[in-house]
Amino acid sequence: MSAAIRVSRLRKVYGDKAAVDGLDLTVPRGSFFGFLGPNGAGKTTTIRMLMGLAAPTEGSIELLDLPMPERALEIKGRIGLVPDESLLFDGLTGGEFLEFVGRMYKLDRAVARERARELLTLFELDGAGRKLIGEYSKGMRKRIAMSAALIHRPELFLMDEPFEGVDAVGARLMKELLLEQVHRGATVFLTSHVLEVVERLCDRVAIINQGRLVLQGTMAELKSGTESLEDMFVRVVGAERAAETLDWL
Amino acid sequence: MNPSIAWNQVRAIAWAQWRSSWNRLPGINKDSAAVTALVALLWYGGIATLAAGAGILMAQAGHERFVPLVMSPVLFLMFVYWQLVPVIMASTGSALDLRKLLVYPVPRDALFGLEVLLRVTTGIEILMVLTGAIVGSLCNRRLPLWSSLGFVLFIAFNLLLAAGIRDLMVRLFAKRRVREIAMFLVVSVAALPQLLLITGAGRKIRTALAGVPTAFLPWDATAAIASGRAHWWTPLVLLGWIAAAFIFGRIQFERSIGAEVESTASESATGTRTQRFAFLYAWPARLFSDPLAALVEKELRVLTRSSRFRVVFVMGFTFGLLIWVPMSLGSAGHSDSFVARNFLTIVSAYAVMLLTDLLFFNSFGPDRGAAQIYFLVPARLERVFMAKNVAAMFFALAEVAIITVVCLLFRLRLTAAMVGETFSVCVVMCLFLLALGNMASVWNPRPMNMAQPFRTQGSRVQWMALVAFPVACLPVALAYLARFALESEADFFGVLAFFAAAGLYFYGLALETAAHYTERHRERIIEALSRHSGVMST
Repeated sequence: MSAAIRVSRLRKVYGDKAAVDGLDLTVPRGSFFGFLGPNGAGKTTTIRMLMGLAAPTEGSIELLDLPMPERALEIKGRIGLVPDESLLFDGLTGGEFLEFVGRMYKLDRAVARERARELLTLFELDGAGRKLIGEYSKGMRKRIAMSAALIHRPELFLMDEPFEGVDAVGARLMKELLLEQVHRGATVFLTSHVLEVVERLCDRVAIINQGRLVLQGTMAELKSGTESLEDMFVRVVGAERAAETLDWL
Repeated sequence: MNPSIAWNQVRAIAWAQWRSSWNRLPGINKDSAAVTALVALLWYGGIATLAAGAGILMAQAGHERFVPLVMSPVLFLMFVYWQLVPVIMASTGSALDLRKLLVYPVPRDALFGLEVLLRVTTGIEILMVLTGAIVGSLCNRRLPLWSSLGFVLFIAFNLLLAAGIRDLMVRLFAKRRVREIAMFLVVSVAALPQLLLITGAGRKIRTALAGVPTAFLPWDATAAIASGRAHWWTPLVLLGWIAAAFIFGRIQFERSIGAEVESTASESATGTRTQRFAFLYAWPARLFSDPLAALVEKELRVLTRSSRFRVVFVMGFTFGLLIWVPMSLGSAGHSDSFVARNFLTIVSAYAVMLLTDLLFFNSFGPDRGAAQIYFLVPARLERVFMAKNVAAMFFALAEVAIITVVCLLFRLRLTAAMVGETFSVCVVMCLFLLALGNMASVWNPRPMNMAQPFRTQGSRVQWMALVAFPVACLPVALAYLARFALESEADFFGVLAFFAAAGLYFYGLALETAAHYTERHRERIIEALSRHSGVMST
């Protein structure tokens, strides 16, 4: 099976704490992959290593059958990113930023400009296309980041909480677009805390806890009986407990 | 509100800032911290020596007659340093980030008090010297104990006035259109003493004001109290100044809070941008191919839209012209000194120096967290550095071009050779600055808020830039030395050409080193650039 992401014995240590501890993960091409875990489980660290923003302490990463970081430039040209933190230049307008990103991905300037215009319209940002990104709301920033991830028609999407702060209309549009991308053969790898969204979109899921992979499989395999993804998640990460109340609350 | 609650809040704010600074320590590059510490040691060691000198002078019995004569002008200079230098250096010291604090129920009196105390950060040198003088006057048995109170009142006056001036400047410089007028006024005020001196108007004014009593001026009143020769009303004069400074400071503070609230409320409702500088952004695509062209264009767009860059850029040529040209040319305008013969080069070098910490020594600072995009897109890091360098060189040479055009408009004595020499000298200087700056940018990256027209914290970047600037000027200085010693233009340009070649080689090496260093330390660099300050703004 051809893999979009193949990670082997991946480990990342900060000081004396392993944020990611011996992760083995395979994401097949053309899949919509949900990467789940509680806060501090190591999701963002993993995705930052996949993006090349953090160097692994141990282990190997292959994206689109190419080794990372040895073939980093080639890989970067074929992936689309929506990181948790903003990648946006506050001093550019939305249109200018998209054109800039398009050109960074080696699109011809005219093509980049045209696609930027179309993406602004698609994400209902055309009214704000000449407003500086520094003046955007959180949801608008996420939409422009999503547009930037799409502009070069990548084969693999790496997304950290892409729907966070986006309104229902924007989130619906983003989900539809991502599903379309998967239908054309692209792979989506995303983290999200909204399990209903993951349950609806993803065909494969992996759950990480304390830096280790605790579960991986297709959605059909993992869900047994009437148990929802949320129930399964709570059971697997061991966070099942009765709600406690505080005396003063 | 209960004063103890307000006091607890003030302590909490101070603690939050302290923790924010403390938490950053593990991420700090130890080598750059050592360099900063060394430079700070030299600077503050010098100031401490001055403070000791002031203390000894004040403690010497029998100097009381001499002290008032020099003290008043010295106190006036201290006043100018504390109030004016932060404005002309576009650096307003530490300040509370009101945007973050206004949401909490902190009394405004407490915030104002903190803001006033933070003005210490722009006058710490003066405070050290005055502390020395206070200690000295307390040790002098011939001076009454209350004499040292004059210095304390003078410090309070300066703190309150500095708070008001800072708030006023930041607010004025934040407004489009008003900013340009404010900048012109600041430049004019800064250049006024210079112009008065050069034109001889200062002497006329001094003669005209000869009979006017000066005892009501804060520095004269302070000197009178500090020398133990004050009238009964002298402290009242100083208290009057303090009251006026308090009212001014408080009004400006309230207006700043009002402006902050307004800007927060209308943040998402600001208008669209016009393509005012469209011509500026077109040339990179004609000269370079993508991704370099796209990167240069992005730098040009982002920088020309940022308040901080505009302030520094405009200050570069205006201060240079208003301060250096009169000094260079002398009152007659035809002096034949070295400075007069090379005024265009000197003014241009000064303008480049003002740009140093912004364009050369922290080139990733304006990008802040967004700098991580350079690691994600399929472009080599060398290209990213080159794009930033091309933009920096463009703006540095634009300063030289503007200065040249203004000089020509005012029919100053300029020849084509002078213009050529100035451009050549600036290019050589820039090559060394770019080489040093690329390494410094990744060695000590600091996020910069480009929306703020002034720097709000004195930074290590500034220190490094100040130390490195003379180093970058050294090759040029050697070329001038060759001209002076050998009295030959050919030797001057020969040495300059040699250093241009050496600069290019050094630049290439530095570029490669910086790119490798960035690749290896990308996590630390991204983390440093994404860092948010505590309750104070950056």
